Amino acid sequence: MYHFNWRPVFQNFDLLWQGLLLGIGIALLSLAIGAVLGLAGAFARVYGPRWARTFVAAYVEFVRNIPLLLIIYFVYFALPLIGLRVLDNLWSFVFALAIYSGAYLTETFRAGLQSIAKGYIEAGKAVGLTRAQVARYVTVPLMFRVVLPSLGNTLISLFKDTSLASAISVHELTYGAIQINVNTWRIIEVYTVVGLMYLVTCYSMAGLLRLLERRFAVVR
Amino acid sequence: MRGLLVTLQVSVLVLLIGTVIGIGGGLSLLYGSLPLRWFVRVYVDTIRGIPLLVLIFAIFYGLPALGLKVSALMAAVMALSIFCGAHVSEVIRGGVDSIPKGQTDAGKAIGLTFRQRLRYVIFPQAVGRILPPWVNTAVELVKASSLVSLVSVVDLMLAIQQIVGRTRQTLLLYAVAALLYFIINYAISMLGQRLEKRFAYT
Amino acid sequence: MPHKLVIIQNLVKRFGTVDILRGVNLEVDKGEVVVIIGPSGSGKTTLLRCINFLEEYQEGRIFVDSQLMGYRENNGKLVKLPEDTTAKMRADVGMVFQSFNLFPHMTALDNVLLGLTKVRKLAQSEAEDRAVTWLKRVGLGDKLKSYPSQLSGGQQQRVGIARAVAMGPKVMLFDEVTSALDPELVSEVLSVMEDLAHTGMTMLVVTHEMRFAKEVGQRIIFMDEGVIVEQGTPQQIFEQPQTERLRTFLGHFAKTL
Repeated sequence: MYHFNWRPVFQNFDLLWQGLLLGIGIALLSLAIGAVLGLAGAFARVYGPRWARTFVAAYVEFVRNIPLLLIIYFVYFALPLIGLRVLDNLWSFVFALAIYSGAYLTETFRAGLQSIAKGYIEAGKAVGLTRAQVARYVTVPLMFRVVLPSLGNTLISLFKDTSLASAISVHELTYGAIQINVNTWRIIEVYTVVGLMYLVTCYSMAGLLRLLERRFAVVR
Repeated sequence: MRGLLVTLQVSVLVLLIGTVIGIGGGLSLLYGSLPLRWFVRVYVDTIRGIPLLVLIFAIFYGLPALGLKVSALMAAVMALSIFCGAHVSEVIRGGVDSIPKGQTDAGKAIGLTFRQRLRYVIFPQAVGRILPPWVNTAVELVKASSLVSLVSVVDLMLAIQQIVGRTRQTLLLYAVAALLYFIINYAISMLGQRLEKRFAYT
Repeated sequence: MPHKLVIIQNLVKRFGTVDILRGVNLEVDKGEVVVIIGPSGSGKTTLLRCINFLEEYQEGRIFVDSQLMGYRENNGKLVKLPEDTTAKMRADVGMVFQSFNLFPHMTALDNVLLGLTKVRKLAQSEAEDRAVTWLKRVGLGDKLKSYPSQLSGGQQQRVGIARAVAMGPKVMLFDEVTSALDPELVSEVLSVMEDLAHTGMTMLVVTHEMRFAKEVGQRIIFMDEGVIVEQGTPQQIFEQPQTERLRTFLGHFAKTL
């Protein structure tokens, strides 16, 4: 019979807690960088010249069809070999996750961009705004409201993906679980606690997202 | 390459098992009794709230601790199937839910029984709505299968790493791996699109 | 005395804490065309949907041709019948919907055939004969193999009527069947309904089309807030409204009448 012993888990709780915070931080950072990439990609897809459109489409298609793990290994192991700045494991992961999320966010923003009724843009032009001003004051703000739910869901996904950082020894939550397990072999207790921590965080994020949506939602 | 075969086999196996679980789960969510629906809901929401890697580790390390000896492959397949099942349940529930209620009404109005409605009215329309997300799940599954490399199952991912360890051709080999994954998933997507065209009604 | 085809007694329907129908009493003769009018939220659609048990009711009784719909009596209490038993009862009540609800994955012909083959259990050839006859009767003989997405709203609704009436129902229920149609398509549907009335079909029609009510209706029922407020012949209702509520309601239609 398995004897439950929760003490080792709680003795090392700060390890898990810090891992959790790191995971959240990584997710947010990757989302931010990915959003910049995604925004650029979306604008390129919708308004850019032919070569830009093709390039972005290829990037998106390619990244979305290969495993995140592969991207992580590629950035961490392969890139340094061709002289790209040797990043430590944490920043390699952030970079990899940003590239990954950038592909998805390009599609998210593209859909958001294209869903903005032409009427708003025309109204902006009619008032005399330049194309850049229309983008800045009309298109982008509207688009953010439309894509907010998607962004939130992406953040939650990214947070779960941070668990893969453990593969390159980044000290996030899953790595903490592995460490405690290796030292104390309290497998079920550790993974129950860690699982709950992920669950609670994901649902809290979802709840926050719904609150934000209510405040900023576009009325169709 | 044997690793490639393992990846494909695992993916297909998990997709099959996961879809069966998912059909059961989806139908339960739609038509089951209250306790059943509650149970499946908890299952689906829990699985979707934790990372797949945690699930894989939990099963891989946890089962032996409980006294059940399973191979790494079996543990990985189990974890992936549970994961896939949760997703497919949602896909099916969402697909059927998106059918306008009026269709059920019309079926009832001409006297069709529950089984008849499912078979002639609901199911044909559900297929078209379930297919795209299901194909998406298949693609995600192939990508997710790469995680089994972290519990020592020699799939494409681990095989490539082993070769890198021997030959040090890091960049080239990772590029090959990326290409292989890309081809597999792109093929799945293309097949999916062909299937979707056959079942589109609106 | 003419045979009472539909008998509704003290019908009460609640949805949560809201009373939608508060004691409706109605009797419909065989061959009668009853038109139900009233403001939105008056419960007219709910009443119709209770008759073929698309909605459950909490108190009262609904009899179609002496059959209690949806329940059986057990010491004065209503006990819900199993789904399959209710399904059989529904075959005798035809319903046409506001949003057509044609099966999009089937041709017009198949839409009509489904009930005939699976519920009435007719042989394929007999079913096809009936289906084709009715589709021709509603003017769609050349659209047998068309899918709903290829048909206009008026055409789709006519298929809906054919689908319901081909089943050979004892009574036909029409739930605001022209409300979702573009104005120029309304008359084609109304004329099909008028033809049907002239064949002696018992019809309960919920509608806003006052001219139809006046010209084809034999009895008009005015409902408001879950009860029948007034009823009578078209002449009585439209020219001599007795209650204030009916007068207010008719006031909205002053221009079209």
